[in-house]
Amino acid sequence: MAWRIVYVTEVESLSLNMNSLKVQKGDLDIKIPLPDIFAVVIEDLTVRVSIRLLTELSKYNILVVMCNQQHLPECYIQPVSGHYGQYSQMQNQLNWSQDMKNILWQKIIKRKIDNQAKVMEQQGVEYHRIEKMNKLSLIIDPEDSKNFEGQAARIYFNSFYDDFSRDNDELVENAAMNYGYSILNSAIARTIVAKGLIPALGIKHIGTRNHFNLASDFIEPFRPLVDLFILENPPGSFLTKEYRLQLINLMHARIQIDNKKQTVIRAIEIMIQSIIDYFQSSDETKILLPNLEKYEFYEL
Amino acid sequence: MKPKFYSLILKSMSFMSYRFMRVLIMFDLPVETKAQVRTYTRFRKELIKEGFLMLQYSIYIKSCINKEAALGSVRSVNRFLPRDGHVRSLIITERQYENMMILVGEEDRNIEILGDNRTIMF
Repeated sequence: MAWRIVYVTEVESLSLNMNSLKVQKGDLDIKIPLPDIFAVVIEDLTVRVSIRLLTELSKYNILVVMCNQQHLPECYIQPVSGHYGQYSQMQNQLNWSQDMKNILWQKIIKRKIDNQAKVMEQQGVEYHRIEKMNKLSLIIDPEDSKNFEGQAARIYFNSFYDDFSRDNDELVENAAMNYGYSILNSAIARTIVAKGLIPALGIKHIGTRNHFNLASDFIEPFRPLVDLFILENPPGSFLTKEYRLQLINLMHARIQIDNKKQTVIRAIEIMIQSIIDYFQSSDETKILLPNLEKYEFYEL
Repeated sequence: MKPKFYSLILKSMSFMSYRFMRVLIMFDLPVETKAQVRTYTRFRKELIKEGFLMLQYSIYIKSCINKEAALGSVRSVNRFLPRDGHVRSLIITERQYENMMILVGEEDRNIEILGDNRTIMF
């Protein structure tokens, strides 16, 4: 069970040493066992990384995120084959019926709106706004054909920020959200691949240039967790290294799923497995989605 | 660096249900013949591949996220045991490990950094 995140900002080299990630930094020489590692986030543009290590990281399904000069996640490494039953898993996914996909999407969006409402409650937003969210969450149809998701998002963000638009890159809140979401997104994409699914084939997202449509679907109920963290800990004027690290540490935050508190890393896995089970059994009670009924941020 | 007891209190408050464990493997293997040396080397290498770090000669240690994971790693050591010699395993909690008193010498940097750190920052 992988549970560690390695965050690299200033080291000389990363290499492989007897099933361990060897990090060299000055006279420090640290070896971290690969089976323990969930993700490696590399923010250092000058570090030397051996290919031998990269292939091994992929073999262990370890998420490797590389960041650009603005420190934003730019690309990640994905194994060609992450699962022993890849072919049959993909075949099954190709046969997922549209009706079942619609029901799943309805549940995902409903949970997202419910979680957003929880965030609003937690932040003490006026009651009538929360009421509106709760109403929206009740009337979503299987395809969300009327785009209640968008309506809810408008009510939601406007409760916290004036004149807010997610497209405005000037706002530091947006930068923080983008950072948090993209780490989350890559973690979800990694688990999708590890489960043998095709990340490009989405339920609702069908962006022709988006290789991670399915991750874009599955991330929805998790987004409010990032928002909640940012509301509770406003980023200040720009994203510092400490703040980015806190956003990465949201992977260790705990969220409720299947009536238990689990780390986000684990919750992602539980959710995706439950969705696979749902499509196999056609039993919609099998779907498990994270909720913000109970949560806990991870403190270093 | 913050004092040890402070981090202990914090940990016990926030991660009661996440019982980090430490697995210790202690061994004595005969190294008189060439074959025995080979067996010994192979065993040691397998331990390191399994994620164990050398605490001191013939004592290897690994952090696990909970008891199940700890038992699992003992099981995996069982798969490559040598036929002769003595090998023991011991599972203790993170807190018990932290209570270990070092009388002479100091903690290995690698073991210190790894421990129950969920995020390792460089």
